[in-house]
Amino acid sequence: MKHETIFSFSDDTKKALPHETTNSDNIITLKSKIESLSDQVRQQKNFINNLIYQVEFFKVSLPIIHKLARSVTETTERTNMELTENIYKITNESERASKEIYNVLKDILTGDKSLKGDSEQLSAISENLTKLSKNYEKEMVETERETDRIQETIKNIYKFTENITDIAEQTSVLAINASIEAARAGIHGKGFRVIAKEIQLLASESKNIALSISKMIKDLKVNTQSYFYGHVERLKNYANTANNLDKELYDVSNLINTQTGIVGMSVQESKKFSDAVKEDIDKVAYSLQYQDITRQQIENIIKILNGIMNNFNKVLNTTDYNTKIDYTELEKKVKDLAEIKFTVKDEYKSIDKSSNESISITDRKEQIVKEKLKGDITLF
Amino acid sequence: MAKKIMVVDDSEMIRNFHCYALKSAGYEVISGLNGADAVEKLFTTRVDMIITDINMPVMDGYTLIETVRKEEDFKDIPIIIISTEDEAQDKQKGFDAGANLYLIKPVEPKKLIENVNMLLGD
Repeated sequence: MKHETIFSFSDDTKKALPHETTNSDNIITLKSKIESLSDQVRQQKNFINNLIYQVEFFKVSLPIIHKLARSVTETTERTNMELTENIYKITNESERASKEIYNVLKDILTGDKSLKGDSEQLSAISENLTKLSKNYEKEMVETERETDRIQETIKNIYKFTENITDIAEQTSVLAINASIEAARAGIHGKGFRVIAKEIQLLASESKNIALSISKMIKDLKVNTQSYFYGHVERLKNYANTANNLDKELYDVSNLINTQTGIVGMSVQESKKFSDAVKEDIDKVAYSLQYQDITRQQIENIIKILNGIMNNFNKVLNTTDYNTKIDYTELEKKVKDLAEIKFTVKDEYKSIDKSSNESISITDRKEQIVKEKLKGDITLF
Repeated sequence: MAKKIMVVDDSEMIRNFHCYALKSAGYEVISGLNGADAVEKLFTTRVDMIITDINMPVMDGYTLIETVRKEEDFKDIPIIIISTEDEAQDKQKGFDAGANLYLIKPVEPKKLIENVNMLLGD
């Protein structure tokens, strides 16, 4: 019977086989080698299947990672936006208040209705009062001098009236003597007696007039003295009042100047405060820009992961493998694993679950331990 | 009249930061959400300067700058890039596109204003 050649040894195998071996021995050796090779192939296949499974696991996980990354960037951006808006509100309010304070203080410091303006006006009034007071003093001196001059004139008039009275009295004595002489002359002195009588009458009237003038002058002197002394007193009072007012105004003006100085310092302080707030806001603005950098970094990580996934896909697409994968089960596994790790509400959204649907992390860990330990075990 | 600056960035927060800093310095500001939005707005609003990010959806910063430089009406507008990209090649790419200045995020508002003033001759 002719045996068909099922296989033939390669030259290398032929060399490796002992020269003095039988076909049966060779077959045994070969079988053993084939079994060993089959084992290796199985192991490799298992390894490749496992690798493919892990790649598919990664592939299924990638959308969740995407969602997580998006959630991180969106949440931080949203919270930063809210923070920024609040900062801007505070800044705007602070800026507005600061401007108002600055304007009020500026109005107090400058302009027609300012404290400084008031102080300047007060200084001008004070100067006028000083002038007025000096004028009163001059007027007072002048009035006193005028009073003295009037008194002197009155004195002179008084002397004149005294002289007139004397002359009247002498005229009267002369008239009496003339009457006596006229009586002695008898009938011849009749005419002379009439004249003497008339002269006596005239003298008497002159005396009366002189006395009246004297009395009038006395009254005038008293009235003039009283008026001028009163006037001088009033002038003195005016001058004193003006002086006192001047002093008070001077004090008020000094006080306003001091207050103006304080306000001036407050203006500077207010500006410094406003600048400091702006500087702080600038620092916050600077720091918050790191959020954008972080977003960029996360996007780059996602790009790298996508690149890795694409490379995997290329390899998997060019390889004919028979690994059967239950994607429903795989997705469940990925979600379960994610659920164990997740602790934050937003994270559950990436696996389309709310935190209420998911069991607590403590319960989940307990469950895992129970699954590992198996049996009737109570955990404390 | 205050000069007008267009701020282009896909991050609302960053746009707000730059706009706030520029407004505080006395500039008028308009914003673009990305390169395409900015180009559209440029045809209806005259601006004195553009400040743009690089990585943006729809149209990135490089394309925006190239588009602006090709248009007769806009080709002389000063452009500042503010980007997270810190590589020399990114800067070179920015200058090749036609940017006048390249700043790296984060940017201090004071520094931004100094550079804007310098480019606008204020």
